[in-house]
Amino acid sequence: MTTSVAAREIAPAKRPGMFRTIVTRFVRQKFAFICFILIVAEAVVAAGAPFFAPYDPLKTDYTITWEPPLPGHVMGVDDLGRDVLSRLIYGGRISIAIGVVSQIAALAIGLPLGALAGMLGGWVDFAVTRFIEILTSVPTIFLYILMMIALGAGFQNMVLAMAITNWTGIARLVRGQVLSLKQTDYVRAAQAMGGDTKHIIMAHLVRNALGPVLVSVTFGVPSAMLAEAGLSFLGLGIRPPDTSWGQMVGMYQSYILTSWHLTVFPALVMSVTMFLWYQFGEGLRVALDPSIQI
Amino acid sequence: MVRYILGRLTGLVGVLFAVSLLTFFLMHSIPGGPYDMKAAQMAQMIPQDLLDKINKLNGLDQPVWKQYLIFLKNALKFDFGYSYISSGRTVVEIFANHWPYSMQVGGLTFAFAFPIGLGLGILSAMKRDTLVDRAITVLMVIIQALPSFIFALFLKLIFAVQLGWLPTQGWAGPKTWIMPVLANSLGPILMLQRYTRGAMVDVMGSDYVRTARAKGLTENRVTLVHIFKNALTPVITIAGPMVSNLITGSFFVEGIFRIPGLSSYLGGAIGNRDYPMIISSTLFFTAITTVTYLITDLAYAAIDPRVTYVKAR
Repeated sequence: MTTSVAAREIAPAKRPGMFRTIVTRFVRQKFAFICFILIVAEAVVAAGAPFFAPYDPLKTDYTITWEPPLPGHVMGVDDLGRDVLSRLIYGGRISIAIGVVSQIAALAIGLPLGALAGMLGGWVDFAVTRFIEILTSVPTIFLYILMMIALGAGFQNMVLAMAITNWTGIARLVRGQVLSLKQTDYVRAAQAMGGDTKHIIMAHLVRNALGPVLVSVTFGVPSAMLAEAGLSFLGLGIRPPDTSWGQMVGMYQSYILTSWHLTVFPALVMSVTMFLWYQFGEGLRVALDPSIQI
Repeated sequence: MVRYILGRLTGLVGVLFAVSLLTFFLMHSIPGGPYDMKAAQMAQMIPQDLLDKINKLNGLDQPVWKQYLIFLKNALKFDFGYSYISSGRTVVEIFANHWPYSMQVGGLTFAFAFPIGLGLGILSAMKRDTLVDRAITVLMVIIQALPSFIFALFLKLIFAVQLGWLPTQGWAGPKTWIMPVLANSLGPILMLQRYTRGAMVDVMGSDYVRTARAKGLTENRVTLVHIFKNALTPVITIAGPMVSNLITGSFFVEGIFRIPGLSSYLGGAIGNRDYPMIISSTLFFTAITTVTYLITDLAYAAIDPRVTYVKAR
């Protein structure tokens, strides 16, 4: 009985965990937090497209082709009389999914390769860094185009092409982090105590390198959306009848002289979404940086 | 120093070799041949014996590894062959005729973006955390979320279509330069401003700046000589790759404003399986990128005496 009382007295005051601290620090930045909520809201609307969209995005109405915004069609209709707002909501599914999924895929390649290269050094490091060097010396847009043509257009191939081109940045970041963390006393202590490589990488290095990586992945999402838009703009991305924001801008831009609403709304939605993601990433960066007081 | 440069140039050859190998086999693994698109456009099949003849003429009947060796042999003599699609023109000719446009667009963009990006960066660093700094930051955040092709379309809609002040397309004279350069310079301005501000703020906190102030130097002198000069190194890090990116042309800006630069040829080349054109332009871009990195590294050494590429004995 007495021992448990003593133990209770000695037990340290409960401190909030790492995850909680980060969340609190993030929420305290009101603007970034609002942006995050808007991102979630946008994703919900896109995910529930059949519920939110006023019309079927493929339903044509030849009595009102090319019409600018009018009652019932707040963003107007396109060349086939399809509702622009509904197409935007459905297109958001693909645009957002490509941004997020491609970054997760890039992370899945870049994180282990970067960690291994940094941790093991030697020929593994040499091989990985040379490979990264070669990949990055080819201009990104060129690599995208080459791969999109090799793989064929479409959602999955686009995610694959982006993962293949984007993992290098993450791998390089992780490698740099691991190299500097490797020199810290606690990793050396873990090594001296006989911790095996796998344990050290997972428990110490990856966990401590995760902050900057997370920020880089978040910033990668709007970049991937931009790349998706660029490729769809060039006609190498999402194929009709599927649609994405970039594809809408690309397809409709040739009619900009006569029907501005077809280009302006998708362009606006895309820009605002990218803005939200960048602000979210910035907030995350501040929240994860212990040297910044908030 | 000479040894260092020679070493790096040897490295360049290695990279070019690796990239050529990668690209060559990647492009040949894409299904379809160089004449499929033309045949589809004209909605008629090319007779098989004619196709065989053309393929034989272009060496496409050989196994891929053999084609690669032939390519390598010719490339060493700076002969990259004829473009399959722009018939009668060699790859070297196409580059000689169309790269200047891309270079002009890129060069003008850099000339426009560099002073502005640098100036905004210096301004926001000097007026840190004031209204000016905030305003610039907000502007940059907006720029960041504005893809260049969307901005280009907006420019075209407003200045060419609605107001009719500028021609909608082309590349002939200062009036046609305004919109492409403006659209192209958003990204560079953003990057330069960010890096300049960051570097300036970093340097401002250092001891030697305090010493310079303590010596009684004027604020202008402290800013220009002590802060700016030292803040320049990280700025150069990004300026190098930026230049190489700019002078190789932009698909979007050249496409939207119909500038006869390289990109229209490259876009078409990949779609049409124009093998000589694809491999040559990949190598061309890679070479330009790698050489700019080398120049950037040399520029470091020139600016920052702490950086040296010659090993101390």
